[in-house]
Amino acid sequence: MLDMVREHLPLHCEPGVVRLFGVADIGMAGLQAGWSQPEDGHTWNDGAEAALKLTTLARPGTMLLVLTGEPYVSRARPMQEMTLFGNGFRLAGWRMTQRIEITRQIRLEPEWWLDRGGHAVMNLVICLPNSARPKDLADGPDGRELGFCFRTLCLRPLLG
Amino acid sequence: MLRPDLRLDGWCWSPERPQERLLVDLLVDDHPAVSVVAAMFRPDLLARGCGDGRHGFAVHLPANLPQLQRECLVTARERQSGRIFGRLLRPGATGPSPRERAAAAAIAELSDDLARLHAGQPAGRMRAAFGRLAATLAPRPSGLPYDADLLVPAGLRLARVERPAISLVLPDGSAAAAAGRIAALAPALAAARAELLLVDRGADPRLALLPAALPGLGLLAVRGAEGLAGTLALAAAVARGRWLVLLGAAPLCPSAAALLALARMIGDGDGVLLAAAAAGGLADGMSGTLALPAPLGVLFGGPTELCRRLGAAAADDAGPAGLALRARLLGQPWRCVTEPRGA
Repeated sequence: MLDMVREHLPLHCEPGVVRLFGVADIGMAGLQAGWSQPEDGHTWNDGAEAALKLTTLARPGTMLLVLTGEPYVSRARPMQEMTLFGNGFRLAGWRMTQRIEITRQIRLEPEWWLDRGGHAVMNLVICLPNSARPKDLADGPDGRELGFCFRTLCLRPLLG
Repeated sequence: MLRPDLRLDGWCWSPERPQERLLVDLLVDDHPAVSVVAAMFRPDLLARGCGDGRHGFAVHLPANLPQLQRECLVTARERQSGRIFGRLLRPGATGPSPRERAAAAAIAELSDDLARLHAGQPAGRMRAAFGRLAATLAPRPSGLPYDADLLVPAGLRLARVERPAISLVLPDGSAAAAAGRIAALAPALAAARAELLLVDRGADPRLALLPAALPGLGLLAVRGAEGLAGTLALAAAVARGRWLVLLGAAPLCPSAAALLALARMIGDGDGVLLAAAAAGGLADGMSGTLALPAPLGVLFGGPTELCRRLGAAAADDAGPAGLALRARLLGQPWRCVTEPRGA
């Protein structure tokens, strides 16, 4: 029961702190829908949309959301597109064609956050329309619909 | 370890809170740079008994930090306890200047010529100082029971020395070897009013546990601080003793002979008591007076004295033809210290 409650809690991010996806740190915190079970050091999406609920201190200034991870790209799936929405705003979009660790920074303006109960809240929706099941691509037995392997997340105050 | 792309790898685990994922603050020249939850799995930590092994971290320092554009000190600190567990010096982006490269070449040249280093007055003073130090710090045979798996010998206690006369820096290595050497030195430490600083370069994660078991033991983390100058700087910065000793300095420094060169350079008086080297680097006449466990290191005047000497030498700039070393001491900026060749 407690675990179920935890799963629906948002992920609280202190500015400047790098959080790790996977079992040891973030776990299921803030992962609303469209996620695989956390693994060691990473968590995959599962499906074309993954929703993540973030909170931080009230009235944040302009910040950078820094995401690192690795796209699911193979010979049969040579490209992944990722589009990020935050509280309904389109934040950023990328096309990834190499299976390497990448870092993406997204500028978050103060007015994009919602003020809820003394915290700033951001409902992130990560669209990965090219997610695919590896087993459908003869790329192993994995039946999850994979698009991006999330490794770290950080809200970094924008200096100056 | 700090890579050229500013990625910093490390780990943080506390035996007092073994299940907890600790929050690590990284500071660059004392300015907060980034924080990270140490929760990454590392099989080496699991193998060494550090909880479930999920206590590592790998994080990129923000490249736009102005402090990172020059030589800087990166500090890793556990947030809840405030304990600093790692420091490293990062060279500036521009690399060594032509003058510093010339200095390094001069040191290398001197290192190949031990006869020159052992000649003359400085060696005489060193030899006399050897005797004084040996009389003070000679280790006695230890009958203490010791179990390598327990790290700390049973019954071993280190008293915290409030105002140490000497700071001994013990090189890193395996935790078992370190514990053995501590056991050998312990009886002499209190009598000599000496504090012991254990150098930890991440070779064995259990080294970090020793200070918790031995309250009088200090931990000097020098991960990434490579070379003579970096190690010296850190040792001088944290040592509280009037004198600073690097025991078994060879693993800490690229060349034991280079230590002799440095000792000679700054030893134009009573400040330098001792300069000795590991196997092959020590003159016979000097080694006979030694009672410390070999390999022996180098002893300089205390931090204040060393700083004063380096400052005085810097003022007497002899240019690129002189012997030079970069040094950063007690928070002072890096500087190039020079001395005319053959002076």
